[in-house]
Amino acid sequence: MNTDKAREYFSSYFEGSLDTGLSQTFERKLNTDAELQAEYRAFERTMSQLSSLREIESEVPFDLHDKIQARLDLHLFEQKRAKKAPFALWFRTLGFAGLAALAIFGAIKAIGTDKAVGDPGMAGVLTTGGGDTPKMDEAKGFQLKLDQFGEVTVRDAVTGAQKGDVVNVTPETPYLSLENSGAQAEFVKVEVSGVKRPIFVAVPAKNGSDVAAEDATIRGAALRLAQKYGTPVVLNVPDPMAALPIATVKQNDPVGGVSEALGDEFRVEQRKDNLIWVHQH
Amino acid sequence: MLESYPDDRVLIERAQGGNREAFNTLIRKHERRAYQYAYRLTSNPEEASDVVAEAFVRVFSALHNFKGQSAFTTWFYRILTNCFLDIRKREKSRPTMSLEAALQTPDGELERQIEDPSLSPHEESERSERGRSVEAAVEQLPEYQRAMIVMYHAEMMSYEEIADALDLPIGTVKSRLNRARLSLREQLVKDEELFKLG
Repeated sequence: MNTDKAREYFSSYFEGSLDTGLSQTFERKLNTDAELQAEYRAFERTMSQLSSLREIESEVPFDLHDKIQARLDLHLFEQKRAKKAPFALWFRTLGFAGLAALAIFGAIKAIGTDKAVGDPGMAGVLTTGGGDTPKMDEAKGFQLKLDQFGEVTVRDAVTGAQKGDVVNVTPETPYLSLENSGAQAEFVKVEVSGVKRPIFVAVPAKNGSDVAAEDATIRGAALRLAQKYGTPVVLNVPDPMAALPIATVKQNDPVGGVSEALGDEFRVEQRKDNLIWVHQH
Repeated sequence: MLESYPDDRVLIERAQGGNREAFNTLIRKHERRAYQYAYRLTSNPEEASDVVAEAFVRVFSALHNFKGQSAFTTWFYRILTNCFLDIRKREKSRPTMSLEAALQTPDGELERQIEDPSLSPHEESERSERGRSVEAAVEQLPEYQRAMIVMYHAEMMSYEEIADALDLPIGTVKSRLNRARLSLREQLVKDEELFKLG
């Protein structure tokens, strides 16, 4: 057992959860390596010291409950306003319309093929997040073509809550269907297993109203543009919550419009799936 | 005074049916613990309040999605942690302002006054030197590692509960926690050496 490996076992050995064989190997390593032994003793002291974190407490502010209620009331007020007026202002917030439902369907078909459901070459359609399982040839919504493969999890980008089932995306079945049956554009995070950085997608609602009018972030821009052009905006950026001044966009062409809104720091392309992809330099 | 509240499942079911009073009860039941968790992450009372308020708004918005497959507290910890991480990201992306710059008002210039969020002398004396050293070392950790350390060592959550809350495999939680502890050990060893020199 080398030193780095031994360090990986510090916590497990401390907690007594290493199996007998591994524990003996670890102890032999400790006994023959004085420096590692000293490190482990320091680790034991650290674990003991960490119990003092429990003592860290602050007096709960007397107005905490009122503050929570006020924030909630503001959120509800903004929701009502957004539903009533087509061009309602939306305060900058990380919340979203609670009534929206985003249905996610599994990867569907390879390009240019016309295979049947039972064909072994096809990934099955998985219905997640509510709604009936559609037939393969009735796939609805936008088709996001992924270029990295594995198990795909779609999450609400605000709460982190998983939306629908985990879907397996392969080179043969690289598409993920996205449909937003809610009242406003939605912002989701698409995670592929083994891939460090997720992508984010602003998915427009079919008959949605203007959204995120005062949200001065990349996310806010993506939501407004997706709803304006009626097509998802896919963000391949490290931080969608980074600040971005709100721009007035006049172009009718989606690629031109998104480029105009985001600026030179971003590269914008419309792929074969017709979705707008944004990459940050 | 010990307050008793209905079971979370009962409150959630009522709240999902549109009962705002049930949701208010849910807030009252969990707000104090949520605040302490947020305070342990932020070390700042104002920021902790913001995290908690934001988290309850997200809970309200997403409650219809909560199916009860995990405990409400586990789900709530996930939302609290995400709020903390998001608020920190927002803070980092905001343009900075010089603390020396004076405010211009119609009556002339005003010096900028910054509230000191640190502990009072009384509170300071209550904490041991070691405790403060550990707290300072934890504050140096990347936010995600800090959340895991606080969950395990302060909130007394199990590995399984943390894995559930952060939606990570349990092996990943264990290895990341081990790494966070090793980082803390390095920092605390340095602090010990500084004490000896001083």
